[in-house]
Amino acid sequence: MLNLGLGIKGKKLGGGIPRDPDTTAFMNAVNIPDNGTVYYSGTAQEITGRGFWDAIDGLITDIKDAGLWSDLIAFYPFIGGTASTHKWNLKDPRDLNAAFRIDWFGGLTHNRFGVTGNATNGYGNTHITPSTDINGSNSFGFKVINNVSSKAILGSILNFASGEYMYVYARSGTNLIAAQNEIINTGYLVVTNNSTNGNYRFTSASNNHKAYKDNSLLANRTNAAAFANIPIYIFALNTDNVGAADYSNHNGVCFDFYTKSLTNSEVADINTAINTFETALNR
Amino acid sequence: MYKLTEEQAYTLIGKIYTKDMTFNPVQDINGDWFISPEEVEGNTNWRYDDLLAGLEKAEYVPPKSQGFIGLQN
Repeated sequence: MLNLGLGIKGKKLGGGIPRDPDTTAFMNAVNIPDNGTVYYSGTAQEITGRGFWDAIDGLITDIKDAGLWSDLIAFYPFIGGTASTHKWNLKDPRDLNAAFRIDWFGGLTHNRFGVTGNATNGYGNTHITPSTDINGSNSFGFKVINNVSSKAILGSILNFASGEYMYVYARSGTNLIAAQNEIINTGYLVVTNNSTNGNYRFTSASNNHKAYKDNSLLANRTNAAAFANIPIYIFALNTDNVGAADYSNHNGVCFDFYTKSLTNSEVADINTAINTFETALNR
Repeated sequence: MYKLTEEQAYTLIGKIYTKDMTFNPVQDINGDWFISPEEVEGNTNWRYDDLLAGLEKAEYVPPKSQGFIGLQN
């Protein structure tokens, strides 16, 4: 964004105006040039390469303006419509596990709407390990755009009987079910959720866990924190690192992870940034 | 879902079927192996063309819950 003074901001225009270096790094990894090449031609999501650059530049600027870039460890914006373009981490677009680049497995659908699971064997390994990468205050979130009852949109769980659980069922029947890096046999979240669509965000500080859908606080709980030492999968659970389970068929358009428990206003800022970004992509 | 023999499943596990996508054979409730239509129809790896061409669709019954706490499965 350009700061035009008096608190007014305008979107940067392509073709000559310098891009944020993080935009350039990410878009070069995704391999979409900053030009007039048309993608998704003839669809409601038709967009040029320059349009993608503008959208990513706006997203990065909005996250930085919210003061959250340094706390961000991974953001997957799912642009470009293929497994190869959807694997990149906005924060660190290197082709490495250590950069939290996603590895994709099984039957996922990648297209202009992001990524959709198949509820049988499709998932992504983020390589984000709770015990080492988000141990302590943390937040994570995602946006879903299909209204289905399904299984896990993400998760990493260790020691089935009493261990360290992190998972979200965005909507199982009429309930949102979640564990936010906590000891499972002493607590987890169940709250009514009749529509899957929306921005979900989960924040934790010490033993306090909050859950939001869009900007509404769904729950504010206390339970002992605990962090699994196996990577987080998306569109399924990682279960004791012996395999994926509970595959979902949600359509996710983005996922993000922070080493900070976001405040109410920061949740609102990130939701606004994501909604602005998704509006630019018309999805 | 497309049914596999155990030998076919182990041939495909961990192999790339198209750029940045890896086969993920899974077992159903009866222990039979399957891969998804997305993998069969999305395969661009010539090494597996013959194997996939011989597969047939069959009923896939998801495995039972592993008893995750809190999860309704």
